Amino acid sequence: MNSGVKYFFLRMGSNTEKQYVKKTGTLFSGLLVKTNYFESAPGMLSGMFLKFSSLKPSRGYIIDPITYVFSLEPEFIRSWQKVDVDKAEKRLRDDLRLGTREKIPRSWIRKIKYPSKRQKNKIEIYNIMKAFRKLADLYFSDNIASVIGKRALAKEDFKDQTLISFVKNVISYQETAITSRYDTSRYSDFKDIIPSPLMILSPYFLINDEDDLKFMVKIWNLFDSQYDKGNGAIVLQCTINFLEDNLQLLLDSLSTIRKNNLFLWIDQFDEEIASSTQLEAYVKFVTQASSSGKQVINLYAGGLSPLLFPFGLAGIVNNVGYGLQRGAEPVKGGIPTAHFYIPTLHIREQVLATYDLLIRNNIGSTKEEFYRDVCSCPVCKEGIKNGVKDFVPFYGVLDFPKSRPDSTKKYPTPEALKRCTFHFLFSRLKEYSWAMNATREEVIHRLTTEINIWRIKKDHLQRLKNIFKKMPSRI
Amino acid sequence: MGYVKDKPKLSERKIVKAVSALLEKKGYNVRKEEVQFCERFIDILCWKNKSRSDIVAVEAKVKAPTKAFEQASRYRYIADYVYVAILRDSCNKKSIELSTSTGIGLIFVRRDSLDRYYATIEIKPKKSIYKDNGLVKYVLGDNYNIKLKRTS
Repeated sequence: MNSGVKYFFLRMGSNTEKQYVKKTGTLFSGLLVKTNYFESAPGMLSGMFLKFSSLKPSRGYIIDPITYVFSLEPEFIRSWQKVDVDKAEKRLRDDLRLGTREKIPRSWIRKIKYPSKRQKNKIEIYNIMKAFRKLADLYFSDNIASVIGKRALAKEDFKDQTLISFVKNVISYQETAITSRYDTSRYSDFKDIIPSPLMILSPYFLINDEDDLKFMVKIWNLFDSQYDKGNGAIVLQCTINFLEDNLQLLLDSLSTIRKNNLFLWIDQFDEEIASSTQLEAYVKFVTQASSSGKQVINLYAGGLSPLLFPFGLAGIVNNVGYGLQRGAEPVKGGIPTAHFYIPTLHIREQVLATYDLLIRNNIGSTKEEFYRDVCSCPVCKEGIKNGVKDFVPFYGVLDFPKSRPDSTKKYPTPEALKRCTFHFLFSRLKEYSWAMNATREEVIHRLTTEINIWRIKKDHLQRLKNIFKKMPSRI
Repeated sequence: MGYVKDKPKLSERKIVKAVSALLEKKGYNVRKEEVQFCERFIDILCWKNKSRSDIVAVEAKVKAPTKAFEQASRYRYIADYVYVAILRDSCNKKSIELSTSTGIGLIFVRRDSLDRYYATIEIKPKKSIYKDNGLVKYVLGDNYNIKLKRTS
């Protein structure tokens, strides 16, 4: 990675996001996918990475090893799966590595509530998800792999030797995830042009306390010694409380690590509702880590993060969807709701809540005012022809979902979701391209302008502006 | 110690029922189902059949008046008059304050000696200045024939 260059990676999380990645993917610095998703669609994703690399050789892909999931309660990596009745027990024993004497709890097997004709001889088992089973076997030694899905991994599970092999396996997985798919005689002539990942990430677990940090420092040091190429990146995943309370300790610990690329994930950190001291801890961390030579990339960047570029942030990763923060514990998805990203507030809100904000702030009553004070992306220009009165009929279209025939609730139509998502991606790209060359003064000026547009709901902008005014620029 | 029967919990449904009865008595045509307005569901939406101009929206809550008034304020974009209906005895003072400052009406629901719930208008609402007829048409349909149920 070049110092001074800013990065904007797009995280693709599901097949439904393919349509957005296909259309906008090459505008980003690269694509990022999580290993569990890669394992569920390796062919499609390998093809997509190859295509992007051929279109823009400087852009690349990153595979996030998401090792932290194995330290969460097993419910996050298990799901109800339909199997033939006679195979249920064997599947559970095989996949969860249960011994013949181990009893299978009754609660792990249940009847299908409304079975279709084809499901007549099937039953549901509470099994480990296929991708996580495969990853566990690839990452861990046998004794650790055998507990995955039954309990959360703890630091104590790792002995020195098992930790070394774990780090090695995680590196090797990322290095060979794509190349191994083309490792046959059929592709022998193309072997040299198969792209390698843009960066190789260290394994990581959530840091809650000093013991967790010590464990992660051990992993980072092993990563340093096991992977000596320049594109290695360590991953720091911690809570905002830990960051705030142990800022210097964290910076000191990181200064002992040779790798300069650092992916930062602050657990459940919502930049809009964060207190001044929390927001300041984040900005200070970025400023000071970058002063000591680290290139900090926010793995789950919030709406305000691009504004940290002049203060040392080297890059951001954004979902195709519009989640602007994420906790370590996964949230199970339902039918998606439409959210509108408000670029001049750097937050996302549901459609009616956004409309309410616009009216209460007396913003966007004409199309000219809307384009000036809210957004002028191609999607908004297509649908907002008469100012705010077009907002709900354009972004808030609802209908009964085809996938839930018994639903009495309407959900956003695919068109409405598409509009919201493209609007979000365009807005973020615009923010990113503006901020990558902005100075400290320009960012403060932008915040002042945005604060002046809004009468209510702007406290987070003011908080950030106050912090920026105290900070020196890194450019 | 004798056996003490638990006081039955008041559900939002009972408040809706009491308020609907009050509005019907006042000549309003009350929708029997919640009406979806973007991501929100309006507990009661009604209008007088003849004019169809005086649209009334009600947000019913057992408690939490601040949240109720916040949600109700969004109904002003499609309704002429908006009320919050709340159980009397739960944050009365706060509700009155919010009603006075926002112009949203306040309906109190009480229980009589026969354990029946009844509603009374405590504070009349101000007419909404935010109502957008285009939005009304979009949400409620041309003749307010809102599509509330799946047709196929």
